[in-house]
Amino acid sequence: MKKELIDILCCPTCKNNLTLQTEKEENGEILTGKFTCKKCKVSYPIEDGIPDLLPRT
Amino acid sequence: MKNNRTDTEELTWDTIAESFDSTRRKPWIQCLDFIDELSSQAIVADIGCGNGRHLIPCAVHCKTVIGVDISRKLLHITKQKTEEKNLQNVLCVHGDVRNIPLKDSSVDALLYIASLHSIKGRNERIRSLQEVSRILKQNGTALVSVWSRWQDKYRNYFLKQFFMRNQSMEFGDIDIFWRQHGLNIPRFYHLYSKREFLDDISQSGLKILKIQSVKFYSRSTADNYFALVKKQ
Repeated sequence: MKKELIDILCCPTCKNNLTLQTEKEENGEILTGKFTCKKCKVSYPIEDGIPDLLPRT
Repeated sequence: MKNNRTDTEELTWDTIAESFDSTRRKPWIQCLDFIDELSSQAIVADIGCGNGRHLIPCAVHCKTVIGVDISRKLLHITKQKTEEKNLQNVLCVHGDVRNIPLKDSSVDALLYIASLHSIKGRNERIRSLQEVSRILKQNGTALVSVWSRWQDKYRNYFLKQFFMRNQSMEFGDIDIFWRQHGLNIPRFYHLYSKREFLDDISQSGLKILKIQSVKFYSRSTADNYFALVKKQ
């Protein structure tokens, strides 16, 4: 997941901005980490460069 | 915890992902024509991107493409293809087409190919089209395609369903089995009449610019409908 492309992403539920925490990065690509929606208090993991932004119930 | 419906859909598509990929290599000409008309500066979303067969030509032509799919396995397949082609402008996102994780008015164009008909429940399908409208920029365009109810292959099934209405399902609902490579996996579909397709799009607030009935395999009646739509 290229860093410069992530501004377009939002929380699937409330559509607010997400906060990114990077754990592993290679050549400008985020491989592992998580997005957090502060409003919903939900974390969305990033694994193998693919964020899991499925809504949580 | 994700909801059960999402989990089931995800499992279905993850199970058939590799088999599906091996049989869905060639992009549809209707999609390539749509992509050709887009600006090289366009930011495009491909929702229900599957194995990337339309995402890749789109990424070659446009500035950025965001692929959203319910199946993590299909996303891995798509991502691997983009890496093999050294495409740096693709973002693959595990997401639900009813709750798209993209900001309001964030994309210039959108592909929604053969995916809307996998959503159970009319209100949910309309909600997904409303999400398309939400993420498109004003005057942004989308190409939406669905399978047709009255195509040769399923016509008899739906004639029977029409006369023997089961209240627990909507008219148009069907389980279509994936029977390739030794698999036998039911997939939920809601096959559309042209009228219902037009109604659902209209209810989402999108403007229909063009509707096309296409016969890929069906001889006498269309098997797919394509709608070119615009956010007003």
